[in-house]
Amino acid sequence: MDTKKVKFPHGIPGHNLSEVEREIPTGEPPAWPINDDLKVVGKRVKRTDALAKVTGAAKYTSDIQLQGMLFGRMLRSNYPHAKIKSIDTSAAEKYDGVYAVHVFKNAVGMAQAKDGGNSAGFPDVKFAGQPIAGVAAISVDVAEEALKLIKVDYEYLPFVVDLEEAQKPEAPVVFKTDVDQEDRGGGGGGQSGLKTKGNLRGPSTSSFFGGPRGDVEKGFETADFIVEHVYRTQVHTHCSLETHGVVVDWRPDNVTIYASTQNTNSVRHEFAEMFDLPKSKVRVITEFMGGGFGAKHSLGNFGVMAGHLSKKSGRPVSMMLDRKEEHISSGNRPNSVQYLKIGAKKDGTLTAIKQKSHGTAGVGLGAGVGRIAQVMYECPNFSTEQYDVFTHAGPGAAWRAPGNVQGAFGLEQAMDELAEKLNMDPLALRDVIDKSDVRKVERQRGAKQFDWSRRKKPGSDSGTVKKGLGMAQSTWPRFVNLNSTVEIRAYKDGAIEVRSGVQDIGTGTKTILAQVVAEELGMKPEDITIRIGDTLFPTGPGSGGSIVTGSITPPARNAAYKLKLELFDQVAKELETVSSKLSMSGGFIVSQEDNSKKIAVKDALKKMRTEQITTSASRSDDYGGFKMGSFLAHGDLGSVQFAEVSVDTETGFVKVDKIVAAHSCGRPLNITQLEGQINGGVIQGVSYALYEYRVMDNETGHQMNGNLDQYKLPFAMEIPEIETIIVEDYGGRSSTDAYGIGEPANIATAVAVANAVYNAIGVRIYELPITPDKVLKALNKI
Amino acid sequence: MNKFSWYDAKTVNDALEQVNATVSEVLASKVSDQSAVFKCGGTDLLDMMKEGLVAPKKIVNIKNIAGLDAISYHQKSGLKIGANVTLAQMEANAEIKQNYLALHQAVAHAGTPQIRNMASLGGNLAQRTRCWYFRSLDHECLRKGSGTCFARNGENEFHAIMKNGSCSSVHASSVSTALMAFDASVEIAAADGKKRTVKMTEFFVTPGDDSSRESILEANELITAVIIPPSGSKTKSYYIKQGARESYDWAIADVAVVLEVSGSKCKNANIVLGAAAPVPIRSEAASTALIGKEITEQTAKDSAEASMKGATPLSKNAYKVPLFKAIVKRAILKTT
Amino acid sequence: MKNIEPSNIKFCRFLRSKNPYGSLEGGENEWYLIDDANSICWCIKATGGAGPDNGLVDPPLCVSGRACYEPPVS
Repeated sequence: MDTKKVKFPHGIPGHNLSEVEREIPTGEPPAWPINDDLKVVGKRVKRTDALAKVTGAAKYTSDIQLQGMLFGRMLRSNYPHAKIKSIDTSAAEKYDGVYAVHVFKNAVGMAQAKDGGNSAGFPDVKFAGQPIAGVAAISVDVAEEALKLIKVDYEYLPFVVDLEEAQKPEAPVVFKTDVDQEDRGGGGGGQSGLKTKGNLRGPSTSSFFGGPRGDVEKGFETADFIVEHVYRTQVHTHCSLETHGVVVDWRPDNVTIYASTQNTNSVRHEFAEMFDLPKSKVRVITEFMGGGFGAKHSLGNFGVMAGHLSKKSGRPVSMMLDRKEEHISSGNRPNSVQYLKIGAKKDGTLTAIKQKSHGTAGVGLGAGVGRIAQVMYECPNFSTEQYDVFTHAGPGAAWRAPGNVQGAFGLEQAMDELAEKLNMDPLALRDVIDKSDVRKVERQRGAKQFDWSRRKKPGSDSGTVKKGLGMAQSTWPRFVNLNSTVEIRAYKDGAIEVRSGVQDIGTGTKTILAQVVAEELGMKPEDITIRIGDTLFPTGPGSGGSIVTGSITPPARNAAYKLKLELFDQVAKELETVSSKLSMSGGFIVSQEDNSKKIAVKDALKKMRTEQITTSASRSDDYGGFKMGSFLAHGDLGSVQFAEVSVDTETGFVKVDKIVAAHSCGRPLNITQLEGQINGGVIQGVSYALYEYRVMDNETGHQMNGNLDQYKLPFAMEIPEIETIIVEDYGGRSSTDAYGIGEPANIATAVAVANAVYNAIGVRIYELPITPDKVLKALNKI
Repeated sequence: MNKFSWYDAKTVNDALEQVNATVSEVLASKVSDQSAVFKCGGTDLLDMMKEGLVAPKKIVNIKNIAGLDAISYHQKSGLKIGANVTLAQMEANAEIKQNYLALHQAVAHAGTPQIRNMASLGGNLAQRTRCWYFRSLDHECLRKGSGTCFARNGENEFHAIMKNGSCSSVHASSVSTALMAFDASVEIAAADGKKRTVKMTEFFVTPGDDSSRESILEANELITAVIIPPSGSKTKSYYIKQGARESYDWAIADVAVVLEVSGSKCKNANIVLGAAAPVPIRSEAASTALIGKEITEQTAKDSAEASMKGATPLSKNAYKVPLFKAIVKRAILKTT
Repeated sequence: MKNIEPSNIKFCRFLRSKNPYGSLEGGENEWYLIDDANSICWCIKATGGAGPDNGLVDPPLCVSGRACYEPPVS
């Protein structure tokens, strides 16, 4: 590929802004200056779909109404562990208003299944709430009545839902493992040879760019101070406003799926693979998305069920989960018990970090505590052992910064404690052990805005209600997905249309695409029509890992740049110059040689040789050379959050009064939307710190608070005052140099709150959520 | 939700002729599935129907019965609140706020503004417990006719810390806490045109007496009003509720304090605890500790300590003991 | 910074994984297995974390030799 050398802004304005030279593909646009010198990007641009959303005109998956559409509901096991001997659906099939019934079966027969299986091929029930069969009927009520008529003959088996009980030798086993597999390593790239024994899988010893180094025992020998504790975090369920769900419209020539998904592309791919269809016959549409925090990446068993029911009935089938199903079956943030030992020299230099964790993602994987302890601080000696513990409970799923939110709770409390032992301010300790420039700036700016100097000695506030201040930090990798393509069309009537399969999960992806294209074309964002969330358009990235902005905005800009060059080519002759001497701004194409020679963009479009011109671009490799297959990563998205709390020492209740959140995301694109994301992340962090936890009844294996009454989400009175600081951090990595912020916004909050609680009462709480019973216990009042 | 027929009752007698079961009887499977039950605001009944806990065949709507929606106050005879008066109406009523502050505070902290707009006073008293085992289709608990209280050795962080020997659920009505402290009575109409008036202290049924119900209401009875004795210039009151959240939540602990004072001396006291036992209870010990004393930080503290004498917390709710002590003390001090 | 190479193991065609950094592995995507403590794995045939044989869905187990294994489409 032909390349050219271009200078890009590099560093943090007001701190160390400079330039970096990058070798970039010839066809890509010149470097943008920093945001101060841009017109639309980095500004407070109103959401393109704001009016549609507030008026209710925006149609979400649950709003989809199609001719002849049926409603699907699923029968779920009300027992946590069982074999199914038989299922009789005859009465449900005959029920008035029922059009289709489907039962989940496995393709593998009795002889091949582990632990016996059964000849009928029904999957074993491994958690209360596991779907078994489904019905499509003329209404949700009729479908639910029909479900009651399905007779399931269970053979009940012993179960375990508690993390600690599941590790005991006599505990009922969730997944039986062949003896040879217990010792078999998978081998291969990265690490994939984890062993499973009983309900224990692991240990995993490294995460991306983290992992073991040095010799921790020697490291501890050289330490002057040691901090050593066990930290515990709770199971945290998903509570998106819109539940999981799809509408599947199966037609002979094409299946259309309306999905509440974070990934239109993977839903299409899974559906095509599941039903043996070419991708060309599967279309997935997510025009508006009512929230997703990591659990909406796959088709899901509900999507598969809706597919079967629509295929059988010949009618569209709407299958939206209800709130209880959402809690018990759609994914959760696994809990954790983390042992952490940290050694340091008198000056703060870390000598060793040792981590060991257990957590349960129920019948699934993913209960590690993430890479944060492995990568955030300079430390020559590190080791980790992370174990998944299987239980007969609903599966874990990604949940806004998976593992990192849990891991930060241990790491950043330990750092706070270490700072106190060293008689150092927590910020000063970070100045010693944290090499990140952006977090350094965030600490400085955050401390000033928060007025960190108010902080008193732990427990020294007088009175019954004690104030406390705390802080914590986080890191998140800058991942992108190269499988990200944008198409731009310009029409003769002056319309500009941007098309991509990428979905806007509510963060404002549509708006930033309009901004980036408008900036490049010298137009206004409202002049750009954004059509995304449809697999008829070129494939976009999934909304996970905070990768969308970094993945999709560079190709959007590059496609707009290509479009501009094509227009220049068509009008250069009329403007008596060559295309390389033209520029576009304020709605005009202007000759740089003679600025009286110009043409309005809309007039130029009228003169096009065809009705429309189309350009497209895909995400190119990061400028600067780092490469890892289809997803690249470089650098970190640092954040520092400060928390102010009030602790009532008589009742044990904690109230978060204020959070100051300092964040970076490369080049910020839309300040209002970034604030929205940070506010949301902080609110979820406060909720994780104080309110939300799954209450699981160990005796019966059921979640007791699977609703929004007893599962405590924060409302207006629980939400603190939130101030945000957004630090521009240029890296010259792509044509927009922009990254996401969804996940970074959520990592540091809960532990900053925990550190503030410690500062208030002088006793540390090692377990989330910080409910009054834990505070009163810590204060020796019970 | 199941299909049901709807009957719009015009009068109390009309309503009583249509109904054939209490929701509690349906829940405890004591009646056939041909049940006809009352609905006023619907905030509790519809919840239970959506959860599949009850599936009545007929709903008798009492919301439009004339004459049950008034609040009347006379300095001499006191306060009378119709059973269909909404919590929002009570919250907005100036005479309640002025003369029965603790009641105003209890009402203002019940539910959300949206729920208060729908919820009636009668329904608030007749509602069922929010114990999560009771509300779960998967748990046939003691109150629904089995012999098992799952909370006793299970997930009991929000459950009772007193008188919790059989069932440890707590009554959901925090308005009752205040009503009981003001020595209110409930006026109940029966089908034969008879009326009975019972004190709040007699209105609730403990699980020890009958675990299938939480009030004395029979199927052929309807609450028509709540009557509260007059409140003099020497009456001081205060109510505090602590839920998991401040915005809207059920009480983990709530207390209503109604005192007769002379100067700063407490002449008489009525201290009622909600969410401490399966039904709201008057704490005689707390009252006794305060009567005849100056109201000070120390006497308030003594009274609060006394209120928790004999508490028998379960595995996960011992924190409610210091929590009650804190809010009892604060409520007493807030009256001065 | 070092470049990372994909795994050459032929994992089951129906195995999928989502790593915590938002990328999907399996199917048309390469396997990097960059974080096995926080990656969620599922079998798209059995629609969850248990395979068609009721066993655990996990890359080291979803390889040739398992009863429900199907080779990737090359």
